[in-house]
Amino acid sequence: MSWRIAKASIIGSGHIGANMPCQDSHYVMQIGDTLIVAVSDGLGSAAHSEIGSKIASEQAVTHIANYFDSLKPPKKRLQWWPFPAKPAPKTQPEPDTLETVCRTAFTVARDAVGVRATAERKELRDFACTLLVAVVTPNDWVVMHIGDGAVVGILDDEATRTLSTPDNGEFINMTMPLTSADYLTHLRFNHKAEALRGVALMSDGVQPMCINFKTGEAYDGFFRPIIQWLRTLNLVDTDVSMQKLLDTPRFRQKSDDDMTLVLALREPNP
Amino acid sequence: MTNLPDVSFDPTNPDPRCACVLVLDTSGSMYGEKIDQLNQGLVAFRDSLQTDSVAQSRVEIAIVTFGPAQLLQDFTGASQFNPPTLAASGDTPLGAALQQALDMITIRKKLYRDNGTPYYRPWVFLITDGAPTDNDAWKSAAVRIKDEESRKGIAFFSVGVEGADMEVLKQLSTRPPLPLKGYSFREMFVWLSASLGKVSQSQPGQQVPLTPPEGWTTV
Repeated sequence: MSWRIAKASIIGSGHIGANMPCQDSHYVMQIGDTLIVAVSDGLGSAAHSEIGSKIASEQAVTHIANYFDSLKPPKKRLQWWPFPAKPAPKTQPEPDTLETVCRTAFTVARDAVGVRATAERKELRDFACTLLVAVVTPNDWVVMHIGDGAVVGILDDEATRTLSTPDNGEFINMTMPLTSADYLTHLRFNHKAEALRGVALMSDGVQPMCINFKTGEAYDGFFRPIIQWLRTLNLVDTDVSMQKLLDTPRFRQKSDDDMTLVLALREPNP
Repeated sequence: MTNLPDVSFDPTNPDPRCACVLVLDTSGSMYGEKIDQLNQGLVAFRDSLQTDSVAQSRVEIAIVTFGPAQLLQDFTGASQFNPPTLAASGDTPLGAALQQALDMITIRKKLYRDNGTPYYRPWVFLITDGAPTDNDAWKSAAVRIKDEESRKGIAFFSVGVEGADMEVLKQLSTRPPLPLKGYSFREMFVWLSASLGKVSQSQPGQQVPLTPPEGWTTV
């Protein structure tokens, strides 16, 4: 069971005007049946947040991917020693271990940003960014979130449900970043034994189009057509197509911020 | 060329709002050229806001005047903002006017929250040329302003016109008051409009660097 993924981060028109880089980043890995996605939005107020968001998303995903890699059964070796073979290691994650590994990913990501900050003799806050991570195994999903942006789960019947809503400060121009001292108290963690058909992660630039400000609900009129569309795309075109979609005047008109959307769907069983 | 999907956007999501209350001194001491210049400044404020399409849909203006303290105009979208012509008379109940402005912002924020409207930190912009006449009411207003400022609940600015008690203004907020150079209300309002415009175009998480006030104050 593999994944069909369309992903893009594009620079906001407001950032082009202000001569700022695209501060959104995303990173995706598949280990066997498991999908690991991170989206990170570098804060506009931080001088090097585009680096912070890149490091944070890559490190968080890689850390979790290493764990799933370790669950793979080892290659069969020729048995020459006349003792009974060891029992095969577990290939499914233990719920507790999975949660610990996922939580640690945020510390790992933050530390990695800190190492870069120290190396460049800058402050950690100069690299401030949000971080959303989703891990989807065949039977479970884990969603972790600091700051704004949102995660939407695509259920088996292609209905959508918001798995994690944005956490703004009181005002739209205040966000709690991964780099804050008390980041772990702001980390929202959700783990559920539920099989998802797909998942969508977005930065706050895409939020106004599809997440209701008041209720946090995912807007079906947005997700349904995109899901249908992704099913029909040629696999080599998915990322470019997603980029084109975000770059349309309709999206640009609604948001002048950087925009990231990662949409992943399980391929049907052959 | 790939076809793009026909997506629709959640139609109930409103634009974010930036509320600004102007607290204006219309006491007797403002009579004459001061109030005339202030009125012209307000017109310039409107004209300047109308050149900015984003600010027009996001900035909301209210006016509280004092002498006596009264709500002259409730929150109005910048696109519909049409400043009333002010007349000067009466005393200077600065404290009461500030309390009223703070109350209005509290109510407005609740309304935003109830409607799911995202909002920026609201602004309170005080202009006065005198000293408070309502005893110590300004002191309790000062406590509230400092409290709100420390929680980033509002951004408070005060401008002292010639004759203003700058010592009182200093105690109102941690942000120092700005003395108005002559009667350059017009330049001041153009700056205010540009600053609100900048805030209303900012990104979430962004601290907005404002253009330093130039030409209308001596810092």
